[in-house]
Amino acid sequence: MTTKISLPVSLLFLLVSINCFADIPKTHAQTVREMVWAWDKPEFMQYELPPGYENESAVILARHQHIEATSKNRFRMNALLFGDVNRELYYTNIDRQMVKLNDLSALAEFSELSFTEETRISGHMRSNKLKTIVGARVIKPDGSVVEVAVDEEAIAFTEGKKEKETLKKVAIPGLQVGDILDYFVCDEMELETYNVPPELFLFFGQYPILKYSIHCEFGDKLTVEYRSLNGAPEMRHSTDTDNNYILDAEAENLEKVDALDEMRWISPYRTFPMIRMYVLNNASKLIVKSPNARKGGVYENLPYDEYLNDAKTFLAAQEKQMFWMKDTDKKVKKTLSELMDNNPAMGDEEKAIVIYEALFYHWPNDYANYPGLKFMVRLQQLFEEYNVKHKFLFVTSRLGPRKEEVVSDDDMITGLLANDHQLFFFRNGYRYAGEVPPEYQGESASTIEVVKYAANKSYGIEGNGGQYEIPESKAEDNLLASRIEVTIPIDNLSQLSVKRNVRCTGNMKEDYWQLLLYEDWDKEMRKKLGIGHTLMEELQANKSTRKRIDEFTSVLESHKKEQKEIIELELTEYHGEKPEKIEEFFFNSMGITTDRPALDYTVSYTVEGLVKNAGDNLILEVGRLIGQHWEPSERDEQRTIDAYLPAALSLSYDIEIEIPEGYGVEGVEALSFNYSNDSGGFRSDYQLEGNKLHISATKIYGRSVVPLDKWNEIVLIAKKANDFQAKTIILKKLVE
Amino acid sequence: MNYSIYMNYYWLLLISFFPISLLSQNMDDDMIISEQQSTYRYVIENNRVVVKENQDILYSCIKNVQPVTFFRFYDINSEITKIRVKGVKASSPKYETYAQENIFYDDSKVCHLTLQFKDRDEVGRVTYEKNYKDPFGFSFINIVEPHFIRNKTIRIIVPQWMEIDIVENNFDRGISSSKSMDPNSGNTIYIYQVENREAYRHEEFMPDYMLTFPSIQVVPRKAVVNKKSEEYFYSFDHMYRWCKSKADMAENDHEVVAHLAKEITKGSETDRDKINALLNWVQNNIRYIAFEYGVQGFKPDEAQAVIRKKYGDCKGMSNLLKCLLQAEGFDARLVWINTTDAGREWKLPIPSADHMICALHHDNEFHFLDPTVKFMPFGEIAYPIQGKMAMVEDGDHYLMLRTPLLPPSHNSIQLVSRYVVEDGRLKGESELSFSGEPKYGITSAIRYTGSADRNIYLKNFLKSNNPTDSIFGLQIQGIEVGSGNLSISYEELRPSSLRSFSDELYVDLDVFKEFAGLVIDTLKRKNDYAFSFCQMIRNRIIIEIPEGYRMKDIPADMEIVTDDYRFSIRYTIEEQSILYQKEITIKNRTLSKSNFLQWNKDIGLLKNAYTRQITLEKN
Repeated sequence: MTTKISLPVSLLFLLVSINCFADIPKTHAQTVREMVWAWDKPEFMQYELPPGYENESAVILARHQHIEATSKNRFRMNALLFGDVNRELYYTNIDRQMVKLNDLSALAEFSELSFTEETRISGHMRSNKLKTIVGARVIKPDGSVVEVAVDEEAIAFTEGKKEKETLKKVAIPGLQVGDILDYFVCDEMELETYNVPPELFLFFGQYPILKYSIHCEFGDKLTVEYRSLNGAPEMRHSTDTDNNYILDAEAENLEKVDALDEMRWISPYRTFPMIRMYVLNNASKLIVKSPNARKGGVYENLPYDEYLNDAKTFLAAQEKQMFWMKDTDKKVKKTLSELMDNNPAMGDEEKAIVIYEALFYHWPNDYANYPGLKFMVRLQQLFEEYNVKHKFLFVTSRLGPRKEEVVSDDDMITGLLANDHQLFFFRNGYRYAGEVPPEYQGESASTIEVVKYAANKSYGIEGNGGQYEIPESKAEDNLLASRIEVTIPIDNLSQLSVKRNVRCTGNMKEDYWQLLLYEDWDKEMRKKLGIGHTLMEELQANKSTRKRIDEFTSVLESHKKEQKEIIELELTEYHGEKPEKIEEFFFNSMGITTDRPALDYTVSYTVEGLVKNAGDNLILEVGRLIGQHWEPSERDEQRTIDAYLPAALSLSYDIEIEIPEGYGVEGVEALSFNYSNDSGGFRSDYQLEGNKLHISATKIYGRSVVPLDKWNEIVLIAKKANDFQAKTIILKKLVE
Repeated sequence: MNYSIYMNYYWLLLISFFPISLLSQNMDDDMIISEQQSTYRYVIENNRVVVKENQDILYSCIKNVQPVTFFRFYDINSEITKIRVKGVKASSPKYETYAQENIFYDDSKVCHLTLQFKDRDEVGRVTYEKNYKDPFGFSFINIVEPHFIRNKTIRIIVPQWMEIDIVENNFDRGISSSKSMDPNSGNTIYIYQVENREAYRHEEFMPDYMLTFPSIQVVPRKAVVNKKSEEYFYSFDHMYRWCKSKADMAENDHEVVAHLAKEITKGSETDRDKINALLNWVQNNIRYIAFEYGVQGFKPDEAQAVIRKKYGDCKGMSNLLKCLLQAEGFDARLVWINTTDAGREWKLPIPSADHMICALHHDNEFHFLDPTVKFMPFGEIAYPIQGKMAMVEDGDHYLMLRTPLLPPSHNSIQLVSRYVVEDGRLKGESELSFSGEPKYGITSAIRYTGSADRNIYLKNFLKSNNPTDSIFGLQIQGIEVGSGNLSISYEELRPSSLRSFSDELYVDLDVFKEFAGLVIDTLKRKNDYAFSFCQMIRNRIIIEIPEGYRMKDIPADMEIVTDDYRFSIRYTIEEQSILYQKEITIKNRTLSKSNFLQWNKDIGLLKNAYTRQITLEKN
């Protein structure tokens, strides 16, 4: 039998044979690695650890970021197979670090790398390509350098029936304590429908960084906007022969900072040195941008008004996006007309509140199609319609950048200012209408009255602009007032029977929101808005929701079950002991409406572990009745940055202890205490009336922002509270 | 401590009970399995024995409507060929790598989808098919599910040409089994009927699955395919040969190993010194990384590769240690062993080993060395492999040996303190020592904490939630690899331990009050409680009675002894001092549900004893 080989097969065989003998071409990843290792940067040749760093877990001996971005006109087919020319963005970010590993903790942290080698992100009818190349070398204490064969050593994780690669992991071979790991991550992107993710160059780190430098090369068609903050170095500008913009910055011996998620009361954007940079492909037709968007060029420290205008244009654009609002509008109007008919003398303030409440209550729970900006525009339109005096308001959060340091319209939050003093925001948690979230308090906001929406103009909204200083709440506005009644059952002297009532206002309500049920919020809002039917009746009345009643009921049931568990957890955290039994709990008020602004919660339970026996006498750990308070650690005491508390706040405890029959009380004198400083204080006192011992304690942090030179005062207040927590009294058995 | 999953096949179904968020949803009796039919059939395809699995599962609601997550595992040796849902809307099935904590990589995959129930009357039916590409892959059938099962039938259909053994684990009266012969095909059919089986619920500190829950293990013995006989695990010999053949695939470069061994033992004089040096070198220099897929799940990485990479899994590390010891002339071997996690006594040739260690035959005695336990010195053995059957390499044969079982006192924490009263507080010096498992755990925690944080964390631990106390003069000894005991000595000022009222002082000598919070919620707890290991805690605390004071009242001694534990507190009055001695011994690792009430009562007494103070009064 003769076997015939077809021509294509022969050619294929020939090609394969030729390739077998040819030099294997370098892969792109290999080329990138060779290029990075060849960087002419002396700090990456310096392997010696300078004295003084031996006790650090790890030290970043050198770090360099090399960023290139350019844009080109490219012809592409879209998902519908139509072709057109658009300006695409090509971006490369190489981040190289050389880390000296001094202990096992550092070895564990740096011994594995994971990355996504290639991925695509869909945009509007287009896709954006992302590629990551990783390189690593181990430098031994004797100076020998071993490059990690990442392509061979990495393991791929896959997903889906077709085993699509999603992630690669590499365990760094040969790495030991005492070694230096020199590694880089190179992200390459081809972006059609997105800008480059915002750059954040941090001039601080969890480990000491001896040298950090940045080099950026940007094509002249790109728009680059940036700002150096909190003492970060300024960038040097130049241009190369191709008219690319060149930006450089470097710093040495950067500040070591604890992991941010382990730090208390911080506002990173207002504290730590960093450069925030946006690289925008404003020449692209496929990227949504403001009509105020800047043309190609480098813009350092753009004035706040530029970003304010951006924010106004995006807000104005929502006016044209009022789709699928018929149902919501109908419900809102019905609610409002009934409320106003029932109360024709309704004042302006009340009117603003009910309009907000009605819109918020009926707003669809679908934030993709019904975003916050759309809500604000509709609220403005309703205020207009119902003749409520109002202005739009743009504010920065205390936990975000300062007003004069914004670098994007995303840094601003939009609200509405009604009747010159009421503020309304979209995301409101369980706050009542007009209650101002603490992070906006004390901030200087910009306002604008709406004469006309002008989404295609660079200013976005026609109307008079202005300023509004958002008032800051005081410690007494953010109050947690506890009334605690304690009895010691004579038949079980090791147990306390406690009835605890907590009344919170302002920011202090937030800790208790997790205890609240949506179902209860819904019930109270319906009552407030005069909506006669219940949630279930409403679901029953609607054809599409009727089918899902069982599902809703199940969800509500499971929330109730969870609520009990959360209450048990709250008590366990409060006393540091799990309660023996929770007798009952209820909410007198949820703090969600202006007429009942405080959250008022009562729980009765029994708890052990607070009574100790000393012969026939009992030692009662009364200090633990105020719950667990922050205990400043050594590290807290050594704080080097300002503190941003959620708000100035005040905690008060009114404790009544019934002395069991046959016992007298001693040691109460130590309960009388008073300490105060400029930042607040802690005071406690007692009163003995018959068989009732009344103890009062108050802790006040009087500032929401604590400058570093006042930090010690906060620590002292906390420590005084800790001292009180350790207080005990003795219940002495009376001789019969 | 990290142990690798050695036999991937065996564990694939078992890991379905691990607590990951994806899998832990819907663990309520709101939704139940009203009917489940599972059939496993051996067939020949392309001259190979394969196993086909079919499942038909009906989910229904008995209380509140909840979504149900259906999930099944597979790997490179098995595939899910069909998964369909009828009766309710469901999400599309997702196929993902199953990432487990402490495992760098393994090839386990999970397929999952969610049944979106809308009302109580809906019944969701899932039909599912899976192929095992060889009989090794099909070795385990779980009985319980994350939902209550009203009826479940499991059928294993074995043709005449196939020979298997079946091991029934933890069966109870709720499971009936039968075996029949199909007269037409001659197939043997094993049938298991399960009724009213409670849902599996994951809880913290629950006993090992294999020790507690019913399951079926299937051991392929032999098949005749096209008149050719294929033997699987016909005996321990077969199983050993299979395991050994995988281990022998590692082509170790003995020259490289010998060179390294020489260097490591350069300063060692005695055999013991050499053994210690070699073990410590592997513990110190090789990072444990569980890394398993395909043949890597069975074959140790070559010794020279582990030396180069400075990481390895249990097989790679044990193989390296074996080679190093052999290079120095010691009789070292590989050992296949079931850890406590595998949970089984190795009585049948079931390839259940989930760990590999190294055995050293020295001075006519076998010593078991586990290089993956970083801070365990030579001569000790980690709790999860104590008292286990170990299959030890012995050329073409094997030895089945039992590893030593150490008493609870091996895992001990001992506190020795001496206090005086000074300025209204206790001032003292203490030494806290750890041995066995607590030592490995604490040493690891200290060594893996950044140097800057180490003292802060230790001080917080020693303050034991008493913020007004102060700890200083911390000294740590025995933190290096190869050290015996770990001891932490420190000075302390403890205002929280002394109360002064009029002429009396009240003294609380016990700072740590171990086990005081370990009351078991008998209403919620579904499973027995499993301690991490048996252990002994001892306190010996002395307080000097201050001048001008005398002892007025001293708490009563207490002693509780059961088969599971012992709590003992004793006060001894000496001339001008009081000695407080406490001993807590956990004798049995598992506390059964039937003993929960007694345990809670005894913990109540222990808590009560902790609340009792010594009263001193002025002369």
